[in-house]
Amino acid sequence: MREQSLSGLRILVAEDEFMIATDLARELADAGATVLGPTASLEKTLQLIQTEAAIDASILDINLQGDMIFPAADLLQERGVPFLFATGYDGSIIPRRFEGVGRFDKPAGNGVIALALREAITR
Amino acid sequence: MNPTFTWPHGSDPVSQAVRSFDWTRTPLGDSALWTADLKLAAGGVLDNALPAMLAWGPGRTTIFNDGFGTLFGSGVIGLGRTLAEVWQKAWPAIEAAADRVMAGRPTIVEDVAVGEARPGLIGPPRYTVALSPCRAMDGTILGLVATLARQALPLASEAEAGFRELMAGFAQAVWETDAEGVPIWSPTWHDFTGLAETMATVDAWLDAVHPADREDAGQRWRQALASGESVDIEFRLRRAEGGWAWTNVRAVPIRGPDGAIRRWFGVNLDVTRRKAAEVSLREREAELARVQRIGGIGGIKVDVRDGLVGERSPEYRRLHGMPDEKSRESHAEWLSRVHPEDRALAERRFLDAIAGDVRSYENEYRIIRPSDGAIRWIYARADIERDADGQALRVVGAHIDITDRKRIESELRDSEERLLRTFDALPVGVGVTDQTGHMSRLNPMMRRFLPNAIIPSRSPERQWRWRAPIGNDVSVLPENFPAARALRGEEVVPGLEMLYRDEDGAEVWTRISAVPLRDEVGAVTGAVVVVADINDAKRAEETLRESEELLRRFGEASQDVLWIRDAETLQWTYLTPAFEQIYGLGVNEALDGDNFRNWTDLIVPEDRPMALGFIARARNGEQVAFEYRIRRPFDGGIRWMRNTDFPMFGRDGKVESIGGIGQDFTDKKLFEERLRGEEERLRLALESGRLATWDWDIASGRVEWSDEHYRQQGYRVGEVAPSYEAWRARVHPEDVEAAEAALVAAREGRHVYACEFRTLHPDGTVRWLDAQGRFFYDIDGTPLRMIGVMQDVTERRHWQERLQVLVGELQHRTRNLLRIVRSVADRTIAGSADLEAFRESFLDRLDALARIQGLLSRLGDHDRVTFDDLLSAELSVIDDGSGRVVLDGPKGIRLRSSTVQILAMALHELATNAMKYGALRHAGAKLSIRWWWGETDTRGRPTLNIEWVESGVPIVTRDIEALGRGQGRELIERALPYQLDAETRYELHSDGIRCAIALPVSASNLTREVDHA
Repeated sequence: MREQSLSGLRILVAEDEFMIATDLARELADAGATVLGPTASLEKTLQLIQTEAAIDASILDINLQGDMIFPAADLLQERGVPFLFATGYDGSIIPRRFEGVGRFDKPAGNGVIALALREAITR
Repeated sequence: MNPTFTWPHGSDPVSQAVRSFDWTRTPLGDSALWTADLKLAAGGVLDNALPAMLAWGPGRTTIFNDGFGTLFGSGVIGLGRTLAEVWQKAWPAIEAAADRVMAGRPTIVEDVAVGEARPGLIGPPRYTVALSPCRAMDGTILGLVATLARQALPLASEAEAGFRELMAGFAQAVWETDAEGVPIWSPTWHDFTGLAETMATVDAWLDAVHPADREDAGQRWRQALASGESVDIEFRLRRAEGGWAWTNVRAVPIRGPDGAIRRWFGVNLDVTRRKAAEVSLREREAELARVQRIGGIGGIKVDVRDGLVGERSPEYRRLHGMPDEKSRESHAEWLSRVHPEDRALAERRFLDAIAGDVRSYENEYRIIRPSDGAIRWIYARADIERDADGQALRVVGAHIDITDRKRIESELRDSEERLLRTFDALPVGVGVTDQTGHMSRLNPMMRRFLPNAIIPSRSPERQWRWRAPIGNDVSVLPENFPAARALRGEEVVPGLEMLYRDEDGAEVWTRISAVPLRDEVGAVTGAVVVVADINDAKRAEETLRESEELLRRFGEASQDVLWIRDAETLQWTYLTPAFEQIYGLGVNEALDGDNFRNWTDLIVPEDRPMALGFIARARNGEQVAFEYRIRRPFDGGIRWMRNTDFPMFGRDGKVESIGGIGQDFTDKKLFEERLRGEEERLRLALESGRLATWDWDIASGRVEWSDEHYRQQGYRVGEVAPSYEAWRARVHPEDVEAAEAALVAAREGRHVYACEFRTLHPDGTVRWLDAQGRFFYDIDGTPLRMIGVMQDVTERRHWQERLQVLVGELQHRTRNLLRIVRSVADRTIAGSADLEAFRESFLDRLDALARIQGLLSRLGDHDRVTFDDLLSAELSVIDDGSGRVVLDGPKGIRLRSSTVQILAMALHELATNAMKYGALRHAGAKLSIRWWWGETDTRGRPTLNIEWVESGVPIVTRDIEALGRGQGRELIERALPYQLDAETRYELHSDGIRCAIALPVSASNLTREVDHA
């Protein structure tokens, strides 16, 4: 197991589906991370990004209750915070400017997300 | 004062002159030293009442008085001269007398003419001169004194009578009037005129004057009377014996010593004969002028001695274009008129003729007529009159204008020369033969055929060269050759075609014509023979025949009908068999009757005027092409004909006939119409399919667009000239680069051009266009043309995008769903005691999820699941219809799609719990579900309030525990707030669960309400 692979990292999670969000949060917590959020709406996500001083990484669901997450992604990019898109959509909906951003499809488990996060952070 | 200086006294001019005269130069010496005798004598003279003079001393030096000086007219200049000088002309009469006086004998000399004759006086006045000696005191004669007395007028004397007789002898009349012109004496006048002697007035004599002359004569006589000048008048005077005589009146005034006219003396001289001669001369001159005028002969007379001055008659002046009044002119004036080219020669001839000894002279030269500048030929001929020494005196002659003759001569000369040249240059051989067959005259062409100048029929050695084939190897006999026949008196015209074998052995076609020549009595004296080389024409004729035959065959073989019409009657003169194939009417039948009329009847009536119009134009010399339809007589079928009609001109340049080529293009026409129909269909298809087309001619840059092309790029149809630039201008700026790059790539890569780009219209509309086309190239690979279609794919793209979204959504949902299933499974496992319990719960939850998916999947784009739908779907499973469940709330509250699943799951958990532990498990328990509209939340969304109340449930501890950590509670208390921004309350009361949920719902509920309102 790689429980401690995300140890000490502060990770923001934006996911509107409650059950998925709680699962993901638990998974991250199991890996040693501190979860910021999760947030279920774009508004709350933006708010959190602006108020949190330290964010090491973020997992963003692309569609939060019908709102696209991209403004939040832009904000993170500005701050130099690495992030991943977690999405049920295929890649075509993602704007070009986020071309290099890592992405994983829901559902993902068994540490896939943690692994992807580490990769995003170390890049 | 010295008295000597004042002598002689007296103030008259002579005394003054004597005083101032320098006497020292005369023998008398200084007057101051004169002796008293001299002074006395001189004083006596100076003071004399009569004209007087003194001659003094041996030198007879003269002194005279004023009277004497006046008389002699010599004035004071005579002082101091000798006696002889003073008397001048009268000296012979005086000299002897003077000598006698000096000898002491006073003498009187009578009738001495003194001084000048005066006007009105006959001769100088005559005086009686008294000469007396002047003696000194001693008696010596020192000088002489002459005094002059005017001699008395002689009275009518015998001399005068004789004189008058003499006058009357040669004059018609002699007469005398007083100063006023009233006759005093005129017996001869009366005798001559036969008029009575009753005239006592100044004008009475005019009765004898011819009425025509009367006024002039009277006027001139009065003028003479007034002026005192002598008279010279001519007029006709009545004759006593009848008739008129011409008279010349000469009259002079007779004046008294005081110079005043006393009388008039006149004579009438007979000038009748002179007058008659003058009239006759004038008449003859007039006649001469007339003759000259009629004959066009100008008369000249040149006086050789008088500097060659010439007299010109009126006709001469007319011929030479001189001013009519100029009857005389100098040699130079004549010469200036002569044409510059002829001037030198004409003058030389004239001068040579004068200088030589000939008596006649001829000349011919041109003049430039001053009157009109015309150049005229003049012929001059004259006699030269010479004196005894042969010197020319006068040249008298005539001029005529020979311009016309010259012109005719010149024309005649030209014409003869032309004729001669023509004869030689004639393109036919012409010859004149005598009866023997010998040609007296022949032109070079004739010599070509007859080198020996003998006609073939008379020339055995050359006869063989000639033959006139009339059949198989049969020729005309030589005695019947044309020239031979003409010599027998026959006219062989237009002649006989004969073959002539020339020196090279080649046979040449000729045509021989001949006509006889006859003398006055009609006997044949010879013949004129004409040989024409018709070889080329003959051969051409043969060729023509061949080519006509060829043409006929072409015509017969032609699918098109060929015809020729007479331009006048429009009737066919030629018609090819194709006519029958096209018209279904035999050629012979077609040509029958008025075939033009019959033909026009075959044309369908609508096309007939047009066709006739074109034929009329062809008839006027124009080539025309036209199309018309005919109806075939035998089957009524319509045929489409295309005719090309053209004028055929005759030699006179007029349209002689009209050629026509008629093509049956019915099949082509039908094909064309079908094609046109297909084109139209294609166009309509393109239009209705909203397909724009373009056709780009790359070399010229010309582009054609279909109407749709304009519309697709936001142009009004025809608003711009189609062009590459016009296309490019409406391509969206962001897409221009890619669209052009694709175009270049397609052109260079020789593949199909396919590009989707946006177009930006001026009103800001943006549309997506899909263009597909291809380039065409020539052999060298240069692109020539590009054709393509373009389609507005904005809608399609919209749907594509929409589809993409939907697919994405589907993926999203599916993946979410799977994650939820996974999560549900996890949680179910966590909440299940054993596998059986898991199975039951899990399947139950999966069913609930399936129902929700079923509800969602039935929805359209804008549909929403309503709360009551959701509720009934869930409760239908559990509601047994016993009335334990009470539902109360409005229908049709629309839920946000994203909320449906979680809300449904929450309700499902509530219902499941109610079944397992709650109101639906226990008899007598109740479930009441109420819902209603709540406040609008902070984000403007309407709120749905739901209250789930169970009652009458006996509480079991184990159950409560289960509920406390059950999924339902987690969903309501945590998931709904998290996921739906809902506010929830979950309470476990003694008689059952009470749950309240307030959640924002779809904003579309508001508009619905507004709609309902």
